[in-house]
Amino acid sequence: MMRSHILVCAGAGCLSSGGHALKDTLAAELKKRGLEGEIRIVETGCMGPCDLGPVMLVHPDGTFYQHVTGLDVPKLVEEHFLKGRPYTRLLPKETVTANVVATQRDFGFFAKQEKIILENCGLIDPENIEEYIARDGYLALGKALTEMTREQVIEEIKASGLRGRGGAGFPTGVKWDLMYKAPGPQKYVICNAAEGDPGAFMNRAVLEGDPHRVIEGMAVGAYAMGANRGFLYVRAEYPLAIKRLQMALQQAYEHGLLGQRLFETAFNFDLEIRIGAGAFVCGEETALMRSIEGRRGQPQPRPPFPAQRGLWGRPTNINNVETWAAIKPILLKGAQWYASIGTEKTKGTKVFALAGKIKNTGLAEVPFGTTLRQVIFGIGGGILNGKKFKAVQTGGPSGGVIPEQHLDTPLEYESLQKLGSIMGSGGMVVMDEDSCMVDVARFFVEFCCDESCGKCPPCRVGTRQMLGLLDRICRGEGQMDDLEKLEELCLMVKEASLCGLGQTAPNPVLTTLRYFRDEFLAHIREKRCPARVCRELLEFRIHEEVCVGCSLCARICPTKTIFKREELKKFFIVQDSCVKCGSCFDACKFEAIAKTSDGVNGRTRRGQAFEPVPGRNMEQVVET
Amino acid sequence: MKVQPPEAVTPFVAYHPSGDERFAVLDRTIEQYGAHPDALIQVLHMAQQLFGYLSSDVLRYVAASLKIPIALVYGVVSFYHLFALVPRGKHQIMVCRGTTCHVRGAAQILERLEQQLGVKESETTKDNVFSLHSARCIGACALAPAIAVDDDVYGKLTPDKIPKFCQKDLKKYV
Repeated sequence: MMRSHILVCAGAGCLSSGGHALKDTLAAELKKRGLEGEIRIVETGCMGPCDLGPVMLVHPDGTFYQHVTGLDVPKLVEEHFLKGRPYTRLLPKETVTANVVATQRDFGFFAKQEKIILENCGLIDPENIEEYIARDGYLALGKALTEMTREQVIEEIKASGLRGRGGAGFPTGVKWDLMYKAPGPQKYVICNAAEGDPGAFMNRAVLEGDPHRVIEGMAVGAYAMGANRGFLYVRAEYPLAIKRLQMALQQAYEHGLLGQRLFETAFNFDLEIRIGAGAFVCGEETALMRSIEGRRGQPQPRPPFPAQRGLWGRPTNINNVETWAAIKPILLKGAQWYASIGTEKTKGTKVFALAGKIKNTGLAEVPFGTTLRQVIFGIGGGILNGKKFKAVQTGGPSGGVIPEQHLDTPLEYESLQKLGSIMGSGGMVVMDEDSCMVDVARFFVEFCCDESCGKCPPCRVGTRQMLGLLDRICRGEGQMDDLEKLEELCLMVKEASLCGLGQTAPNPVLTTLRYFRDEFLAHIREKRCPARVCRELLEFRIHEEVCVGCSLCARICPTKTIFKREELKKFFIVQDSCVKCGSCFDACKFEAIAKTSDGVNGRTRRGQAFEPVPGRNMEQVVET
Repeated sequence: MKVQPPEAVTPFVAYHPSGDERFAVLDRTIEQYGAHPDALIQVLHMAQQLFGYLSSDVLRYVAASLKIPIALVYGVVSFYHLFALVPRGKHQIMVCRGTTCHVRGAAQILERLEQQLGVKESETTKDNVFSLHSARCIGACALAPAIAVDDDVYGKLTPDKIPKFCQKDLKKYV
C-alpha cells in the first residue's frame, strides 16, 4: 500500500526546463531514505502551468511544487515526506498563507479552470494504459458498442451541441451524420493533429498527456460512422507526442481495444500514425488527406466534401484532437450534462494555450462564455513585469488581434468572429506595450506567404504583395495610399482564395488596421515605431551620465561603431555605421543604453525611461 | 493521378547495388507499408534519419521501390520544409520563430546564434556538427523564446544568454 504518490510532470515544457532527471533523482533520494516502498513516483502529462516547470504534485494532500530542481530534492523529501510539512520554498507564491497547507486547489491558475478534456492530463501516466482504464477509460467505447446503436451515438453527439474544435466550429454531430449517410463499403476517420498555428500547443498536451482518450474517441466515431480504418496525422515537430501515441496504440492493440472484433462485436477498427513533414497548410482538411496519401499537401476545392469524397476518394471524417477527446465524457456522462456547460450557441469547454507577455503561461481549460479578461487576468495572472496590456492575438495566422476595449467579450465562435478574429484552435498570444502591431501584422503575412502552397494565385501572389507593402511601412518608407492598397488586397485575398489558409490570411492585417491604425500612421507619417520594435526606425544611444566607461558595449559591437571619449571616459555610438543589432543594449549592465524611435523618448533594457543624449555622427568624431 | 487504396498489398523486392546496410533498414520501412505509394512521406522521413539528407541516389531508390515517378518524389520533397536535399550537420539547431517567440525576441536570438556559430540561417558549421534553421513553431510557446537542438528544447532564452549557451550546452553535442 502506497502512502503517497508524487506526480512529476513529463510534458514537453517541464522536460525542457530540466525535468528530465527529476524522476531519477527523486527515486534515488527516496531509496536512500528507505521510502521507496511507501511512495510511488508517476510521470504524467502536462499539468498546465508550463513556465513554472519543472512542476510536481503530491497526492493525496494535493501540494503543488514549482521550479523543482535536482538540488532541491533532498531537502524536499526530508521536509515533506519525513517531517510531514510542505516545503514552502517551492510552493507557488500566491498560495503561501500563514498556517494553511497550500494545495493545488488554492492556486488561482487551477482554481478557475474546469477540466473535461484535460481531466487526465497531469494525473495519469500516459505511457500506461492501466491508469487510463482505471479512470473509466474505454468504458465509453464499450458502452457505444454493446448498448447503443450507431444512430444513437450520433444523436447523442448532436444533442450535446459539440462543435468542431479545429476552428470553424461546425457541429460535430451533423458532420458525423453526413458521413454516416454517405454510401460506400470503405470509410475512414482521421484525427487532425497537425497543430501548425504558432502559439498553440493544446493538442500536443492532450496527445502527450492522455493519448488513449483520442484513440477511444476515434474508435467510437468510427463505429458510429461505419469506418474501420483511421489515421492520426501528427506533425513531425512533436516527437514526444508521436512516441507516446505509438506506445498507446501498441498497448490498445495488446489489450484488444483496437483491431478485430472489439468487445466481441462485429466491429473492427485499425488505427495508424502518419507523420507530417512541416507544412502548415496540411492542417487544412483536403491538404491533410493529400499528405496522408503521400503527395504534396495542396488543398482541393470543396465540394465534394470529405464526407462524400475524401481519402482515396472514399468518405472520410476529419476531426481535431480536442473534438475526439470530448467524445468519451459526452457518452459517459450524457449529452444533457455536456450541453449544460457553456453558452447557448456553444457548448462545453475549450482548452486555450496562454503564451506571450503573460505571467502564467500554459494551458487553461474554461467553459465557453468565459470572458477574455477572466482568462488573461484571472488565470493568466495579467501582464509580465507590470506592463500595460495592448492586445491578444487569437486563432494564429488565421485570427486577429483583439484590443483592450473588447476584453469583456465572452469566448464564443460567433462573438470572436464579430470582432474580426476567430476562435481557431485556441492559441492566445498576449501582447503588451512593447509589441509593435505593424510588426505583428507583418509577421503573420510573412508566415502565410511562406506557407502558401502556391496552388491558387490570390493567396500565392496576394500575400506576397501584402508582405511587400508591410515591409515598406516597417522600414519607414510607407506612403499614405499604402493603407488603402493593403485593405483592397486583403479583401481580394479573402474572397478569392481556394482554402482556409488564404481566406483567413488577411485577418491579422485587417484587425490591426481596424484597432491600431494610429500605429500604422506613426510609421508612415512620423517615421517612428511607437513600441520601438521596427529596426529601421530605431536608434540606440548611450546616456553619458549613466555610462561608467566599462567598455563592454564597445567590445561586443559587431561593427565596432562604439567609441570612447577619452576626456570623459564615456562611450558613444556613431549612428552612421550602427546596424541596430541591439547587442550593446542587451549587454550593458548599467542601463546606460536606451532604445528610441523618435529621439526623445527612450527606454532602457529593464524599461526605465529617460531622455537620451543625442548620438554623434562621423564628422563629430573626427572633430574631437 | 489515381491513387490505389492501401488495401492492395504488392510484394516488395528491391536491393541497392552498393550493399550499404542503411538501405536494408530503409527496405524494412518500405515493406512495413507494403511498398505503397501512400507511404512516401513516411519512407522519406526514415531515409532522412538514416542518411542525414536526401541525395538523388536515395530519391531514385525510393521512387523505384514505391513504383512512382521520381518527379513525384521530388515534388513531395521540395514541398515539405523538413526534407533536406543538401547535406546537413550532425545536429539540427531549430530557432523557433512562432508568434510567441517572435514577440519575445526570436529574431535577436537567431542573429546572436549566427554570430556565435559563424554561419547564416540554413547553413552548416565548418566542422559539420551543427546546422542552423528556423522553425515555424515547435510548440514550446510557454518557454518562449525557445530553441530545439534535435529533440531537446531549450527555453526562456535571452540574447545575452546565447554565448554561454553555445559554450556550455552545445558542447554536449560535439
